[in-house]
Amino acid sequence: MNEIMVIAKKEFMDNWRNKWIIALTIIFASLTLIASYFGTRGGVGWKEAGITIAVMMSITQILISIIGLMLGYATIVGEKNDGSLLLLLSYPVSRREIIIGKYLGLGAVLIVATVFGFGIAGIVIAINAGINIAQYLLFIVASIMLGLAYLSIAMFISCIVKKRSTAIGTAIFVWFLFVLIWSIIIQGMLFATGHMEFKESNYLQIEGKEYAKINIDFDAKSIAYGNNTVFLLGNKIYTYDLINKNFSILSSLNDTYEQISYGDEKLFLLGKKLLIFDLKNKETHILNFSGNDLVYGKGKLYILVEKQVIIYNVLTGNTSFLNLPQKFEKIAYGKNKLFIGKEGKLLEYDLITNESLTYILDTTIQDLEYCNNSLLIISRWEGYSLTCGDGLIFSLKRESKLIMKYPDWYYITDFFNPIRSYGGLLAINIQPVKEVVERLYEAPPSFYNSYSLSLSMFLWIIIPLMASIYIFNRKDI
Amino acid sequence: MIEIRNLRKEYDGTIAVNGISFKVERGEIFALLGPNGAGKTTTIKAILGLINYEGEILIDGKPVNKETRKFIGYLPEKVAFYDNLTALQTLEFFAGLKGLQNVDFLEILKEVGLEKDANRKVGEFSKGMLQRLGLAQCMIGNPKLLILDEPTTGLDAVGAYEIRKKIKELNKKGVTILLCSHILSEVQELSHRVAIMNKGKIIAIDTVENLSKKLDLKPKLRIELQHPSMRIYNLVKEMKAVEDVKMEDKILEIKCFPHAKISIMNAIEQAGGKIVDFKMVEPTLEEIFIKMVKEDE
Repeated sequence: MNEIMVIAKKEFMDNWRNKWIIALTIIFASLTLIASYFGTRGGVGWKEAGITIAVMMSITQILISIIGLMLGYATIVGEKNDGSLLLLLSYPVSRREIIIGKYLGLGAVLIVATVFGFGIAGIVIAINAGINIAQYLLFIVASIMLGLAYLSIAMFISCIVKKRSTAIGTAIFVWFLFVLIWSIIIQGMLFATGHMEFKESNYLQIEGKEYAKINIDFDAKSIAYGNNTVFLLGNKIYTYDLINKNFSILSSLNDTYEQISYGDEKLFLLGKKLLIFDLKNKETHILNFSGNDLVYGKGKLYILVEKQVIIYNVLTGNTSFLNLPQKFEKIAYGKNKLFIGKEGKLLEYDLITNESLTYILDTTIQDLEYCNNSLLIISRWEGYSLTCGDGLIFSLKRESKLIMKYPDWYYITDFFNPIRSYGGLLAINIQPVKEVVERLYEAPPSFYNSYSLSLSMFLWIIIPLMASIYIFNRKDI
Repeated sequence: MIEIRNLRKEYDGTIAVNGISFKVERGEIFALLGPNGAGKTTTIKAILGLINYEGEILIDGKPVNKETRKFIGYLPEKVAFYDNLTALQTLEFFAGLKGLQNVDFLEILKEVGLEKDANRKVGEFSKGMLQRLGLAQCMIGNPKLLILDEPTTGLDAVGAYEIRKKIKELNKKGVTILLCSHILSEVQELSHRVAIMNKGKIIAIDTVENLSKKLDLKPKLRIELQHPSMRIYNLVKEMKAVEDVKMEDKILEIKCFPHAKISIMNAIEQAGGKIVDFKMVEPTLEEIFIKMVKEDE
């Protein structure tokens, strides 16, 4: 035991001053801060840690694996090549003690580097934007576990190869294999052997004061909300009653429509024509308007047709036009303002002063919606239609699911991608809606909850380590 | 101190050591000598228990284990340490492995002349300094047995001299030393007994003196003449007691029976040759070594 600690201490002192490790720690901290400040979701500015974690996950997976492999790949073969191992082994210390001692020492370097790197960033984020400490700590622990698994694999490499250069090559190969192509290979194998199949399904997600994910078995293109009811537009108009929590068909349609909007107990459907459906007397009117998107606000219907907004007064039937500087795709209304967007760009138009402001966005816009003094944007990745009301956000999403026929296989496919980013809505701040942001990112990634993943991670640490001891014990020096 | 019986080691079909046996007595300096690939380092590795082998090796009557290693000091041929540790930290580390505390590391560093570099990183050390630190580490805990593999390689003349002095000093204190060296003069100077190895076998094992006697190596008489001539050369060459003569510049190198040297010198004087100087040259280990290896082949 004493010998193990002596070796661990030496290993720590020898490697902690390694320039590469210091450099990687600095990169760690900087990337976390950069991700927090410039994170791709929601524009520039300090984000609270939840968003940062989502962005950091992919970076971590790449970086921590490199740190683990770099710390370990040369530890045995390097000492063997330069001769120091020969001397070490002449001392009263067993090979098992050397492996365990080295692992502990190098593991400590990895832990310190990770905690230090993420810790500094965490403090800065906490000061600037607030932080969910438990979640952030979990993230650090998960990162460390992943790093320790790679360290264990690196030590195994170090025990089986004869030259340092071979060890580097093998480590690079392992990194490439596990970080980049592992899941592709395994999933390909599972597909080929029929263990896995691909399934697409649509669902309605409700978020806010409550959270629900409701599968829908019909095709829905667009949604609108009003009167405790979600209206879903497909080949028919469907409704989802929030009180009774059930679907029903409101009306069938003779034509194809793409967009739906709600206002003053009326539904407005836009396709090659405009259909107005009165919810009180179930009457329909069809008008000769067509366009990309529409929104209802204070008795008026705003129809976006590329470079123009047609303003149709629902009561009087009067029409006026608003010209836009360029083509847009989506429109939203709130507090006498129009918000008109397309990928990368948002125009805010004040209907009273006729002034307009332009924002640059770093996201695609699949749909826009104004609510609670905030403009919500759903990006192409997150879903395809968005609406809100009564403190709730409704979005239509499509889920591509890999269905595993044998659940035991899960951990194999997921192991080397345990830290995944997870989606959700994003809110840009016209006025901050922090409450919404927090709610959306609270759900931890599946890794944290998965018992089998934790177990597999543990095995990935133990097995290569045991194999290292076994091989090292049998080898001549 | 060390007893080796029928040690045999094969690496992937190549026999590195082929059934050797020898004993190193307590308190002696024993040298292993042999060309590259003779099996010296393999023998050392086997003694230290770093490789699997056939045969039996006992240290103080016991097989090598953790306990016996505590009183062995080892200096490998290629000394390497950990670049980011200082000399002091390096010694602390090795002392820790031997379970030693309260070791006066500065004193050890002083003994090898590194006291000023105690807090420098080993990565900045020169080859000579590394070799000194190597010697320092094997002195930790006052070992009873030192195994030194080429202890003076890479050192300048002064450094090599100091290390040889240190080895003698340690031996005088009672430390048994197993030495491996290519430098024959070093072995000749230091060791009590020599084992000559070639192709995995010990071809001779004895004191340097006895080895030369066994091989019938004759000392040489070197005579410096004032006016060397072919006449004198031929005269000496034809004498009965003379085995061989070489003439180089003014020097006659005569291989002969020791008792014939006076008569040879008399004969030269009588023939009119003027002797400026003369000396007897004892056979060197190099000659023994070359002869042994040649005979073996």
